[in-house]
Amino acid sequence: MNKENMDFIKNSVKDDIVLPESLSAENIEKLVSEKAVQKSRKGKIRRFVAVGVAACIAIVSIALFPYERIIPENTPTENKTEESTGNAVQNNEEFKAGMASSYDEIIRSIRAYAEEYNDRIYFYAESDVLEEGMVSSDDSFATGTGTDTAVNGSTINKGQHGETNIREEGVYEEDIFITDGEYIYFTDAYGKISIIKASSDGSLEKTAEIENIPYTEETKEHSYYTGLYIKDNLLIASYSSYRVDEAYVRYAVSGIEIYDVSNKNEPVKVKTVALDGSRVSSRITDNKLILITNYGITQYFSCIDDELLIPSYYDDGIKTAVACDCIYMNSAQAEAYVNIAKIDLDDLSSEPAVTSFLGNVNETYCTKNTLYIMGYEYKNFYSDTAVLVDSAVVSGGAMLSSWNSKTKITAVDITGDKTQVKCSVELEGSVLNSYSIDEYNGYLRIAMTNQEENTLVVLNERLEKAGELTGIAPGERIKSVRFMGDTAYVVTFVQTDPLFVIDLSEPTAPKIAGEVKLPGFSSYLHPAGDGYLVGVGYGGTEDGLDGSAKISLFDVRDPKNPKEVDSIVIENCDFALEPKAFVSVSENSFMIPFSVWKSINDEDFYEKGIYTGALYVSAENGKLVRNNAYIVRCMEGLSRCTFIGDKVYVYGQCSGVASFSMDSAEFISHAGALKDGYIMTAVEKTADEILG
Amino acid sequence: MDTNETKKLIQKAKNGDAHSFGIIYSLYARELYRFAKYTLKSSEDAEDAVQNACIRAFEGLGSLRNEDSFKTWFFKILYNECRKITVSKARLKEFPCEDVSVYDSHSPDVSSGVDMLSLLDGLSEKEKSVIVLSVFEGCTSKEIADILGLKPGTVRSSLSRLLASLRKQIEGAQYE
Repeated sequence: MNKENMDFIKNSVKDDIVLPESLSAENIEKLVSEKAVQKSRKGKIRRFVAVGVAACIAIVSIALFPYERIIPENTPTENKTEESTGNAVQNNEEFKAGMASSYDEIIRSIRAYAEEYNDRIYFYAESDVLEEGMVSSDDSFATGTGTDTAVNGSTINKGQHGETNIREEGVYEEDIFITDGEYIYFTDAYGKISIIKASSDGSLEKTAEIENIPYTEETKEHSYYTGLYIKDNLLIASYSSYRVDEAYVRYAVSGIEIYDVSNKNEPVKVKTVALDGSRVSSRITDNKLILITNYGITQYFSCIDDELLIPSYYDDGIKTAVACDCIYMNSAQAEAYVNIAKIDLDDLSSEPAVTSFLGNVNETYCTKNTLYIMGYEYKNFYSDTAVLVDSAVVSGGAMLSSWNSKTKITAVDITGDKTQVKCSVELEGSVLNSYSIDEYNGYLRIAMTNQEENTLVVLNERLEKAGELTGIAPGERIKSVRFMGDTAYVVTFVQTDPLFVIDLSEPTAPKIAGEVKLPGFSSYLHPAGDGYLVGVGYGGTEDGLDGSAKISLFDVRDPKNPKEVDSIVIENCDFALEPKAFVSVSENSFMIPFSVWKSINDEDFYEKGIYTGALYVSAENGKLVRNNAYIVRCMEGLSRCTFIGDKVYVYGQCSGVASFSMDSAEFISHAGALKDGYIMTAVEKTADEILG
Repeated sequence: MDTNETKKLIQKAKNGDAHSFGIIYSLYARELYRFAKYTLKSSEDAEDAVQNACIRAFEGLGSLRNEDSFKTWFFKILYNECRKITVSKARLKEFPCEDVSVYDSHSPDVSSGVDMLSLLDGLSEKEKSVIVLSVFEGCTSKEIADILGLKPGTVRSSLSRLLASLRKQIEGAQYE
């Protein structure tokens, strides 16, 4: 349909663009060669000034925060001991937390940094402002309030319904599509929430819709929900909101809203907590909700007012600046803050505890005791100096792959009443997602890619290097990682996919135990019980990817000799590769959404769309069994699925939810689509005809 | 011109040869101007944007790692130059003595086709750029995402909606 519309528009429009004389090739050639001559005279001096100024700033910053002098009153003096898993990051008294002692100090330091920042050559202010209606379908967060979870983050489902695939046992994550076994809750492409009653006969009925602040010409505020949790009768929704003023300066505030949904037809808002910033993420553990945002301040450098240079939080709408002894100035660069709020879900009337530190948050990994924040630092391709890019600029994996990057990992203790920044470390390269990092027995293990070099780093509780394995698959990039106790499974890829089994039984000396090369690669690895591992990703040949989707079953019982023992390959197909799209049904069976891109009869492709749905697979005795496929035709690739009892549900951000019988795969009902014609229709062909 | 030729020219331009740069530029000149004009509306602003982008591109060629992504890279620079102009214009609005021209008048002639500028009116800058890059440049969602600094998913989901709505607008206008 897009192509038709594109052609129609192109053919309907006047083609009256005439290149002006000033932009002729000859004139441009003259222009650039004149500027080049000018620059070569000035260039050397300007660069020297920039470096010189940067050096002065660095010295000034150290002088302003002589770390030895700042001893905040509430630094605990004993090491915290851990109750359950013993993996708390040690409170390192020698770590200079750099907690500020006054707002004046903070402002002075930021203003000094701002001067140098504004002088830098080739400064581009980009923003990842999402225009109204353009909520990215790549955004995904985990949801779920599973009651029981098993080891290594996999979920053995003792209940009757699907639960969000979480990274770490006991630490729950939000997602765009969740269920409590009776109702289904999801966010749509416009950032609204729908509540759908999922009856046991498979019928679906929308009971309520929640819209965050509607856009008005007056406020010009855009706002959309990004993820959900359901716990008893409380629906917790994370959201992001922003407005842009006439000078294109962006003000963003993000947080959570809690709704009482005892009456599913009338949700009642009972609490809001928000923080300055965007890119909101969250966790729930031990009935505390941890909320994280990234607050970029470079665009406020030109404001006369200092207020915006200090982060604030909003408790039920009341704005308060973060306490200055909860703001850590532990960085020489002041371009963004990471704000962290801790909310007690057992006592919603209590104030959130908020902490901030200078830096970016690009990935998060959270255990029951520690929140690890990964922030990227890029080499700006226009200048020679490495800069902490304004957090609003970062747009994810596509950019990362072509830029030098460093990752700063900051460990934050989330036990106790306040969250406390403990320590941090900078490493070369970047991590793929939260599965690339794992805390185990007092060590933090991280799989990283730096340009085309892959490393497994082991850090101790002070985030100091304890061991390292470099040179893993040089020339390739890490595509998926799974840590399971003393073993790490790492998939790298450039044309074919080696799966490496890495032995971490000696944390100071990680080594490769075994590997297996195969075509395609897995983007997500999941334990399948009994020494088997399932990989979901792309299929291919010796020459690279071939557009097919693949599920691999690996026998990893012998670490020295991992094998792919079976696979399911579907041509012209994609699986939803976000870890939260993977739904465990039992220890050795799961569901995964897929989209088949080449439709079988092209004539109605533009009207009806593609074949998409969920695949239900088991791993039995070293073989993969395709139990069933639940397929619809619609205008987008579906991104989530789940089950309740003997019914299966599939979902797309524009298309709503469809229900199926789990056993017969018969399409039953459909609800909750956006009004723009995103319906889902049952398929006429059989699964075998569609999937091959 | 085949890709090998283009690569050689880029190499020469990297080494400071303005003439080679001029030749490569001429391959994209009209597309660059069209993108700037549809994004900024004013011809003067579009000329400024393209000139600035050429200067930046010529100077920054040394950092271009992959000659195959030259076109995307150039458009990204151009997009940023367009943004700078928009931002500085917005700031100038505070000073009423400055004449902030919006767009030059041209008489819409419905019989020879729909006027693109008025079609794009009402869209945000980013939405305009998405449309121009997909309809006229044939860029994929991933390329558009790269140029504009968005996520591919965002581009995909808004593209269908925008194309459908623009089409409806054109069809509606034709039947009036």
